[in-house]
Amino acid sequence: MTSTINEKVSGTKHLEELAKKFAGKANGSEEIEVYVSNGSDVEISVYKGEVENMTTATTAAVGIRVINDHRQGSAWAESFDEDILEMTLENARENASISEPDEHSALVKPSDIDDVVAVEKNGWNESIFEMSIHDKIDLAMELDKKTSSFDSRIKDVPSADYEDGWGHSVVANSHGIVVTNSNTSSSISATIMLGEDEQLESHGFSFSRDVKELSIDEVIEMAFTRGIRLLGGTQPISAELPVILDPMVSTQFFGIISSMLSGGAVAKGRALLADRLEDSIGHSNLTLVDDPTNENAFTAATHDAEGMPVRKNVFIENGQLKQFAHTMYSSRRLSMKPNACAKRSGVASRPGAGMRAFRAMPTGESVEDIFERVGEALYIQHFLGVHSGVNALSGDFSVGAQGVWIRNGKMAESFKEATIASDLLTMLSNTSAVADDTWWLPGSGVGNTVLIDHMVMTGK
Amino acid sequence: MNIDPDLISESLKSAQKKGATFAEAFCEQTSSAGTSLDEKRIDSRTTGLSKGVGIRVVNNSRVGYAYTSTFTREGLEVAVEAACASAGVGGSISPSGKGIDANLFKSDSQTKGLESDEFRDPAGVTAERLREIDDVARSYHASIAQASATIAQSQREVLIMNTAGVNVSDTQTRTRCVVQTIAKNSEGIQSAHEAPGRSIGSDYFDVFSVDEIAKIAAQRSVTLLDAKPAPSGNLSVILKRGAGGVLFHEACGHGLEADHIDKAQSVFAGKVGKQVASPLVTLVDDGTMGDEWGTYRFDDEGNQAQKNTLIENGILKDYMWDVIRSTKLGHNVSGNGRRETYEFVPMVRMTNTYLESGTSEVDDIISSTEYGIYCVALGGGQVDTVTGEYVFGVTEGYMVENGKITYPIRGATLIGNGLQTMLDIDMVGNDFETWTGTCGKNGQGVPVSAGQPTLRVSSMTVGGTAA
Repeated sequence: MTSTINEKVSGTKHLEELAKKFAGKANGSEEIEVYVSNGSDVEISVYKGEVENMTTATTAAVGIRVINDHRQGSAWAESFDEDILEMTLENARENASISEPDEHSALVKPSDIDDVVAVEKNGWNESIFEMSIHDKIDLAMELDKKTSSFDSRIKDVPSADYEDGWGHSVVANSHGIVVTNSNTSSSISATIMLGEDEQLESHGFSFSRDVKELSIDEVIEMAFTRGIRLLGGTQPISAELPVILDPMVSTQFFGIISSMLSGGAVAKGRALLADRLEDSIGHSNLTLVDDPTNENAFTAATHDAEGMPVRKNVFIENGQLKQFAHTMYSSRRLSMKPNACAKRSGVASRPGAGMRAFRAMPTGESVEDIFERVGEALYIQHFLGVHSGVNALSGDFSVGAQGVWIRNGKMAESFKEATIASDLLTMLSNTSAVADDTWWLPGSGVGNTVLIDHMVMTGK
Repeated sequence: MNIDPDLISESLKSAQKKGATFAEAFCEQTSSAGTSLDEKRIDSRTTGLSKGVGIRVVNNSRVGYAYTSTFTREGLEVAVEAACASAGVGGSISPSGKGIDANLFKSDSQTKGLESDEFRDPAGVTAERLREIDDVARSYHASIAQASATIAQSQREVLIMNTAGVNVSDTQTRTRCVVQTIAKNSEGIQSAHEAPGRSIGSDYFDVFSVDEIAKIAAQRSVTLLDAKPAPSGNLSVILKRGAGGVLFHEACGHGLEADHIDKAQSVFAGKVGKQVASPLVTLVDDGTMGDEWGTYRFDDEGNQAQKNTLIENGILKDYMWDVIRSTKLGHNVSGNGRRETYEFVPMVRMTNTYLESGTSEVDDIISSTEYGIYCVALGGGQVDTVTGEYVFGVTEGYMVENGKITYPIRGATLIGNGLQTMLDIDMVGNDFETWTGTCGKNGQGVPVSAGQPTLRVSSMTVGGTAA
């Protein structure tokens, strides 16, 4: 790609100007926040040695939030056309006039921002611009070829994919806050079909900000080893026993825990942990942190979605609940210290509290150490039905599980069609070990192998 | 939608000039409005405008896709250029496979869909409805601690043109009311929701009373407060009308999508003509079904929506198809090519998927069940289409003992294999209801409904939390 295009995608000045221009249209006591995002991505999908699908996409969108007399309204449009943005601003104003006042609704002012120093431009890597589209196609082709011929037990490779993308987002408000986050990503992934009579699908991926670090071998290894060990699984006999979550499953588990830490839910009295600050709610080995300043995190950022510099937050320390995740709204309403956890899922949504790189800190053992120490356990590779079987408000937890048995400290036969059940607080109290195998996963989680001492498994 | 069809036509011609054998433009403009009430207050109102054109170019088996949100000649040219390049048009290696057959498409060319009109209620009217919901929910029972609600309305205008002569336009209007309640007592705290949707505008409020929606959500959360932990084991499971539709959508419907069949990622591959379900089961996917949430006149490739019988009296009849899979496997289209927005390539998706009613009286289904659970509402679920294994959470359920509904349960999870479950259906009721949802597949969400009469599965694994 030429350097001109490179400068165009790296540059954010025009976005900042646009955001500032509309944020500057505030009248009187009105507050305006403008969230501008743009980006582009490429997806290449290869099947049986040929490109099956290739998509190139460029997006541009603006979200405007107006707060007037503590009344809030928003509007958004997928356009940078100034006429459309004028109309969007008017819609946001009208929407604010319809809503009813909430005394805590207000935008971030420079005086709200503490002395945390923002990290430097985080999460931007130029390598995706330096690689030609032909080389990207070749990479997906090679992934397809190598995966297909890796082992005779791989019956088909339904997709071998390459994806990359970049994006900028600017938040500007009428109090003079202007911040920009920029991110790039690249990945390769493959889906494989294994088995003869019993078919099984397995996935592998390799993610990196630096496209040169994507590893075909890593994708194949992951898809193959994680898939092959599940073949021949049977429904186990019901039991109560220790459960080990693999890194991808533990990320899902801690994702649920992170939703329980939302300051917004606490403020509205919808959180199981609402009155538990400083209480011991987890195992003394359990420390949960969110650190978006770490560039390894895929959602690494410099600022949160309201313009506060992000920082490393410790939420649970040695089992003790230390703080909740706040937007400016929840920190103001609960009179708690803001901690820069505002996130937006896009221009259409308002900022809400959330994690960017949430993880359990390793407790000093390797995966093998944990296997050996526990002897017999269920090693879970897939949760099924998490969004319906878990209730973060009541704490009920009951999901489907698939994986392998650990017997005598080693992986043994596979199982499927089991459910495991407990409640979330008991699970936190029983989370006694976090292995040292850190997986930086796409999304807002970081995975490690995790031991939960005791759960109820239902099978036959 | 402010777009010039002649400009679109020129863009498609330009793709053909470059060497594309098939090119398609999907133009879309969606306006939406959502108003929410929370903590007894109209909390926010958001309006949005999404618009763009997706250009799909097919070069034998290779699909190139690009989109733009700029409805100008320049914007379209860039998208056409990118889609052609992505499809390898004019490239040194020609992809193998068949090109799209122009005779495949099923639509009346030049058919004009519904004219767009104002789809939103005035904000003040919506606010009044939300306040009424709040009043009804909170006064339902002393234990209701919180209520929140959202009324969302959207209107999607589409214009689909392709080089095979398709030229259709349509307007799709949707309205949905979501009510959530939280009930609290000394024993604990429970939440529940109810969220029916229909493909209509303000007429929605003639079909549904907001009071009823509020009451259902409130009753559900109050019931959960007194619920006992569900038992575990293999039990008979009765699914109330409407409640189990999502189970058949997930555990069966996805496996009948032709893209999963093409790559043998489905337990139903190679089983047409074979018995895959109890003879009591007839499963249908019907994109023309009244004002249901998954209804449309044309799919997102310009083909007419139709009623497709997938399983008839337990025998597998057919799968669901889009243009790409129909071309590849030599089959008729079925009007199931859908996409979330112009930003996505279409693929095979369900519309309104349901099990047809049977002959059993609902009372007989319950009274003939010795020990089991009665599911009134299921949460979302998850299925592995390759193996057919699924898991669903029960959000409102009751024990059935000696032919009678005895007490409410919570924390029940249903787990099983779709094929086995379809074979194990032993009673099908003479009632019927649908359920509203958003179906997710490969990162795209589309509105769907699922329906079924009250029915019984003779044995399913229930994972509960009772000691």
